[in-house]
Amino acid sequence: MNLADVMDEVATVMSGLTRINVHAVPPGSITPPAGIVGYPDSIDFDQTYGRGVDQITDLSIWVVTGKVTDKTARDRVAAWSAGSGPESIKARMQAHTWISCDDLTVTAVTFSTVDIGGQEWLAAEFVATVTGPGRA
Amino acid sequence: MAVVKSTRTVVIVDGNDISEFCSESGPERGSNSEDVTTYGRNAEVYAGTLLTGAFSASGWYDDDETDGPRAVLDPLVGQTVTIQYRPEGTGSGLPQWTFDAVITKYAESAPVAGHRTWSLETQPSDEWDDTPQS
Repeated sequence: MNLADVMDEVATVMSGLTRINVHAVPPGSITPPAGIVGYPDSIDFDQTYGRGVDQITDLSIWVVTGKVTDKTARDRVAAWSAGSGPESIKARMQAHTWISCDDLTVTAVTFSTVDIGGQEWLAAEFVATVTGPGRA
Repeated sequence: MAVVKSTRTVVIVDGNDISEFCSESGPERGSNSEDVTTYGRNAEVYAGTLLTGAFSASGWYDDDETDGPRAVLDPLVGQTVTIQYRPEGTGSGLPQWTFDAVITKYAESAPVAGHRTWSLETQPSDEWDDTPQS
């Protein structure tokens, strides 16, 4: 399992969302609404014998939706963070047939604001657990 | 002399290498004992009798329909099969236990927040062969 391949595939899945600028790596600048595939906390090797299974723990997937005072931004992040529905990031990740890994599960989402160019933007961070073969 | 990482462990059940699905395994060799204390002793005296054994394994479920743990192990429940256990991996001269065992239980567990897992319990039968790998 290769981290770059996983990050690229996550970005591909996210690009199916409505009106989103997706980055497969943290970019130098963004234009909201944007999705950014960040780095995980760790890659935990040797979950089974013989290099059978590795696990990526807490892969970060950020979205920046719009100005924090904008109702449209709230509605957008609500749809993206919903547990189901056509704009649900968790549902999309869960429905996808993964090639770069065996399984990717979005386990949580947290909300915050980020300062971009002196403006407060509404953001959400999804975290995912990824498992895949250790030898491939 | 050096420590050995568990990840080198190789487990072969009925000719199927299930190592890449294993995260735990536990072979045990033991002996029963018999009280042979006679009159005039100040302490109990014991002697070894028949050898005993135990073996279990567990790990991560995999949906491989040919080599996955369910595909390999579930059909073996109730059967006596040969198990090869290689604590330092596969290689000429490396240690190995070879023994027959009845597969007494294959189980799966599905915690809602985690990955599906499997476990295997066996009842070893007869003596274990500890001839190193050829």
